[in-house]
Amino acid sequence: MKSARAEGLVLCTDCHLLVRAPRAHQGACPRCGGALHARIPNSVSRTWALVVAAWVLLVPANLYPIMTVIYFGEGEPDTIISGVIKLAEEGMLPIAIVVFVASIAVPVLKLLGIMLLLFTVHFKWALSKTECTVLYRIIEVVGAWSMLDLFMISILVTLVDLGTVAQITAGPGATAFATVVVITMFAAMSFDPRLIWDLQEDSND
Amino acid sequence: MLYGQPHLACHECDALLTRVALPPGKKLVCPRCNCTLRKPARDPVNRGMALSLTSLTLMVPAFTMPIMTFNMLGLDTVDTMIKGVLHLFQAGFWWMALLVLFCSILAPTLESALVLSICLLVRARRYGGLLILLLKLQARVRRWAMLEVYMLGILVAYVKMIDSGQVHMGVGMICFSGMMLATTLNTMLFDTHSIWEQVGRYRGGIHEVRPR
Repeated sequence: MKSARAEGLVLCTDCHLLVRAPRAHQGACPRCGGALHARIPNSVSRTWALVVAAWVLLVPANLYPIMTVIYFGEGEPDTIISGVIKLAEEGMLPIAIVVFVASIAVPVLKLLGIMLLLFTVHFKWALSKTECTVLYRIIEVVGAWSMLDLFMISILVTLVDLGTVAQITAGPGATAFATVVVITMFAAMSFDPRLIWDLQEDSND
Repeated sequence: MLYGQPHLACHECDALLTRVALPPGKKLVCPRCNCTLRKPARDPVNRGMALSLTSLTLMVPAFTMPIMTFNMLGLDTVDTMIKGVLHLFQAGFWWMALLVLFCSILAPTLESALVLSICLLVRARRYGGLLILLLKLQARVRRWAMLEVYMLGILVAYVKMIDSGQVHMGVGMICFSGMMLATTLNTMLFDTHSIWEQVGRYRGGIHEVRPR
């Protein structure tokens, strides 16, 4: 199967119109005026930069407390992991699993997944193209669910605000974690899945 | 001609495909990577308008009415979506507050407002630069509306507090659920391809594309 690029055609990213483009990065779409690119420009290096930034920020996100629960003046700050462990110990295993998946498993697996795709494109690994595309789709869809912890904190902080009796406050880890979520979403957006399929055409030639 | 192009390309794997007529209710799937390319909706404009109006109407109570109330030792607190954001701002977590504000309040509002104005412009047959701008904005904003995630956040917070005191779901929760359904359905079903084709037909006859 031929790709549009091999035929000298470019798909407009904004309105999905097929346009004949003389060179890879040139011109504007005649229908919507958007800039035409055969592939997202600098997709791989831009995605790498975002992935590295996300790994770095995962450190403070997990070391600093994200939330402190205080009852009658007593309470310890919780990090993401200690919060999950506490939930499991209190017998709320299903909730603990949900929080674990959303705030630990999803961001880490998502970053590893993007790295796998980047390595595949760079080293021309012979992985199944279909499976790589499925992985890309999962990464794209699943990213937003990491916001769960942040939404929960914003709800709890307001809900449990009883002065000296009980209070929940947010911690600096939450700020770092929020940034991780945004950066990984941008990383997924900047990766161009068509690069995976370009490998197939290169090897066919 | 810009409309009725004889070919189309998959946006996920760049496969060049010959266009076929699509019967209503069927979707077009890329034979190489299984990506859904076209899924024409029946009457996308009127349905988009109905769903956007529903979600915009429900947004007012969903944002301002109590989602949950918490009672402990006779002390009461009320949580609304707006209060959640303001509370974070006052505590100095402005970056997190901005993010929660954008993903749970601004992006869904913007998304529904954009779909509504796109539908109104299409109905008025005004396919100018404004419609193009709105369509591009809508494509960029939709992924930041995370109401389903917020819904799960509410449920987790509810279960978490159940042992510590009395938690009650409020009126806001009902409005929020309805608003979330309307907005998510709207995002899933709104078909911009048919509108782009109308835009192309209006601007018409710029050039035809054929493979070499």
